[in-house]
Amino acid sequence: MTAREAGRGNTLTDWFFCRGIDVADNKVGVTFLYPEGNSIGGFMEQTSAEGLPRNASGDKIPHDTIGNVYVGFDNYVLSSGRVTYSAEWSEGDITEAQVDDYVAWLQGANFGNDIENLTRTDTTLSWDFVPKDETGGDYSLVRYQPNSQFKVTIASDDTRMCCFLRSQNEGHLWNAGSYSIRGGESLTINKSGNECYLSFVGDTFSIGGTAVDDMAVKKLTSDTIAIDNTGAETRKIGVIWRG
Amino acid sequence: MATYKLYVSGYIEETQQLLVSFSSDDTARDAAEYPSLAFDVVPYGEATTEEIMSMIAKTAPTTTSDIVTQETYTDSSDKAEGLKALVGQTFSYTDEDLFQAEVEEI
Repeated sequence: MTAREAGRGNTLTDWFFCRGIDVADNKVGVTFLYPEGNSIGGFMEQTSAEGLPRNASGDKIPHDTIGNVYVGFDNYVLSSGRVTYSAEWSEGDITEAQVDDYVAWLQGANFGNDIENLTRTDTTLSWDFVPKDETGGDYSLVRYQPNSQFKVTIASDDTRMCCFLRSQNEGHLWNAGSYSIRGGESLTINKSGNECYLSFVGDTFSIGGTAVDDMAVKKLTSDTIAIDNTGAETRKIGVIWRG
Repeated sequence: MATYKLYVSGYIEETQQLLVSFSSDDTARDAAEYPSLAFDVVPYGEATTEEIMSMIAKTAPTTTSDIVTQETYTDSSDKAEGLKALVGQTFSYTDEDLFQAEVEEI
């Protein structure tokens, strides 16, 4: 498949999104990546760190304590399958201690995914994400990334994700995360912020006995909502909110 | 067993779209005489050209059924009159009309 420019600068992809919905007066795009039209090896690559989110002053937003680590586009809610995250930089651009700190942050956070095959060299870092088989959340997405090339690659043929695309200078205004519901179990989700959207990455969710369409996006206006997963497999719900 | 014919009238390299028209045993004319539909080939990934055509062909029953429906449609109902009344009018939709409606509140 031919790579093309993605929805923001310095980014290439060959992913096929089977559904896209704009919400919040088109401030946020929610897209869905499913097995159809995609294959193992398909990627979303940020070719340099220049395309990272900016604050109101136009600057990249650094991590509070870890050098050479910035707020990234915490875009991807992995509902099933496997993806590989990878970063590559020129020798000396990022120190070993900084990579140590980033890996510690990575392993200390709860993304609702198991981290497997974590590999590092002097100039690279990579790991696989596999969804945890549990009911829980909210989990964070990968909010921070190294000041480098950064890539997410499809690593299994049953990969299902939703992706949150925000304007480059408004990314920091939104908070994103996910919830996980095992097959046959339920979860009550509390509304976050003033404006909150849920994206359903699977076809087995239901609310009050009514099935939720696969790849639906709904605005959560209630204080809480109880959601059932009537299927057999664990699936995720993405959340994006502000205010 | 129904037979479907596909005619490839073009390939647009810039947009990577294959232009294909369809006919069946029940359509009035041959595939080449109908307007073509543009198929984005990018989603087919590493599929061969034969596999791409085979996948596009899966839409033939639906597409040709629509053609037959159009060719055999005769209607003098109020709805047809209403549709005729649309001719010459301009319609405007906002992003909210087109997209926000999909986002239900829960």
